[in-house]
Amino acid sequence: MIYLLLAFEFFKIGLFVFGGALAALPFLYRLTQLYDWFTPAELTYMIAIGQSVPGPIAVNIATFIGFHTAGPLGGVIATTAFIIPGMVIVLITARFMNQFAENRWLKAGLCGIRPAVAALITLALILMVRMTLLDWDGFLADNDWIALVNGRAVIIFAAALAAIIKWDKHPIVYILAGGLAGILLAP
Amino acid sequence: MTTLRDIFFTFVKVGAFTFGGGYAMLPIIQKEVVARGWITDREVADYYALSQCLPGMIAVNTAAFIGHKVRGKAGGVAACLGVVTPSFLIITIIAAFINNALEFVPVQRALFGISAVVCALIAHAVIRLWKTAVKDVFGLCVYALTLILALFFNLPIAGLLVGALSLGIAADLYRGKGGGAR
Repeated sequence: MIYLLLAFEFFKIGLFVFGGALAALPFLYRLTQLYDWFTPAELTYMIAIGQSVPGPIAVNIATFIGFHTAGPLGGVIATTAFIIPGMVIVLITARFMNQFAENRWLKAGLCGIRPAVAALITLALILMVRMTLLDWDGFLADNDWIALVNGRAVIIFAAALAAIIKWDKHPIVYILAGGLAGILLAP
Repeated sequence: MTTLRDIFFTFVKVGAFTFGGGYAMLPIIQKEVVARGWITDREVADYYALSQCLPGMIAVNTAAFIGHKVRGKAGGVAACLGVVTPSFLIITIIAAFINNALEFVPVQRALFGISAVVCALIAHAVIRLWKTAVKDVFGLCVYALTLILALFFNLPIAGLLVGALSLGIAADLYRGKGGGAR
């Protein structure tokens, strides 16, 4: 039952995501391994679109995946399941939130979680680089080092990273520029 | 008395004018919610900080806190539903047309460039996150261990996060006993 599976997976992600959309990425990549709902390449453009329209990025991506997998109702179910854990926890803890914020165990636990979240986002980055900037599967097949690197993609990547570090503009600016660069440079 | 409908539509506006969630939503919350006298700036900052420590999206959790403050649990639910409604409508429309759009070669070429840019955006986020999250030897160990276990052993991500949480608490206990010089 696709709706139940969607609800289960997105409830789980909602329960284990701390912070923003990036923290959800490793979970979303895992979904591409577990189910044939969407491919890693499709996830990349969902991320791009999720960053380019209003609303919390992770909510946008959850709606997108739900719709892509099971139509409009799938979108409703993925979005709802995704926000329920945080919402319920907030509504339960709202009354004694001040003691909560100073809780020693919570602070200590967060000290452990933050580097782990950084590691998991690094993992998502590695998977994404392997898919976008490298021809990893082709390399494993014939060990051709020269064909491994997708030169044109690397050029766009490097230019974008330099621009992002230099000018802290909204992501949509870089995404639009990337689209233009792709139209001009794609092989 | 503020109605649930007021809360819902106020947060529809917050969702519709927030690009990217997180910090981007603070100015619009100040404009829409603080200006109505529902809560103070100080409370917004507290809710925002606390939302980062709880599971879930920061934007949704902050909305739940504010809605709860205004009208209790029902207010919290109305605020959450409001803040995700614009996302839901916009993405549903885009998702319905994307497959047709993908048949055009220029769109495929554009996505080639966009994918590389998304990599760069995430790389930049990782660099920034590194500076705040990995501050000491303990942080570096947790970082390396999590990355190795996830990349080479394909362990469940939820399990890795629970493990990291436990390590954080264990390290704190160890320091509390007077050991754990860094």
